[in-house]
Amino acid sequence: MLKEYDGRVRLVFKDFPLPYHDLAMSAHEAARCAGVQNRYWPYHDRLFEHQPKFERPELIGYAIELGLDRERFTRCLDDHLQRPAVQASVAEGRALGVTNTPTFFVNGSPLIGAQPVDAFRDAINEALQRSTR
Amino acid sequence: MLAVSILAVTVAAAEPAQPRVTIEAMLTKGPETATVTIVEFSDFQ
Repeated sequence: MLKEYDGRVRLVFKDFPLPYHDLAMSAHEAARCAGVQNRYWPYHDRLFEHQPKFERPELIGYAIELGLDRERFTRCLDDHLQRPAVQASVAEGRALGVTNTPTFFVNGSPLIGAQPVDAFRDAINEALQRSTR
Repeated sequence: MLAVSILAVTVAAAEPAQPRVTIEAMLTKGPETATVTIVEFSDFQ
């Protein structure tokens, strides 16, 4: 989708681990720990490929597979260095009324739940049209 | 970590209010200059 719109669209990912998903918080923290080593998106993609295998050894394993510094990553994960950032993201979501995932905002217009690609195209095209008015 | 706050700005009456979120470069794909910003709240699990 980003390629299709070639520079006119950007995606901002926000953490919103649901409280009834026991391993989600750790996974979100782990992705940010990978990001500290400049591997956020590869790790993010790895998590979606392997969900819900998010036990600690698995999270560390994905980091090793991606060539991250194991000790640094493990310290970040075990010390919950990224938890405040995840919690801040959740707080922002709640302030916007987010209760479930995925929830999208396309230039402020909400799209709730998994949506077909055409729903995004429609929302993006509408936002682009509004921007030219 | 680079973080930029986006404040709600009313551009036109028909324009929906932009959500007030912190945009982190690490969690963003696409250029800052993009006309359209998609904010995705997701859960990995």
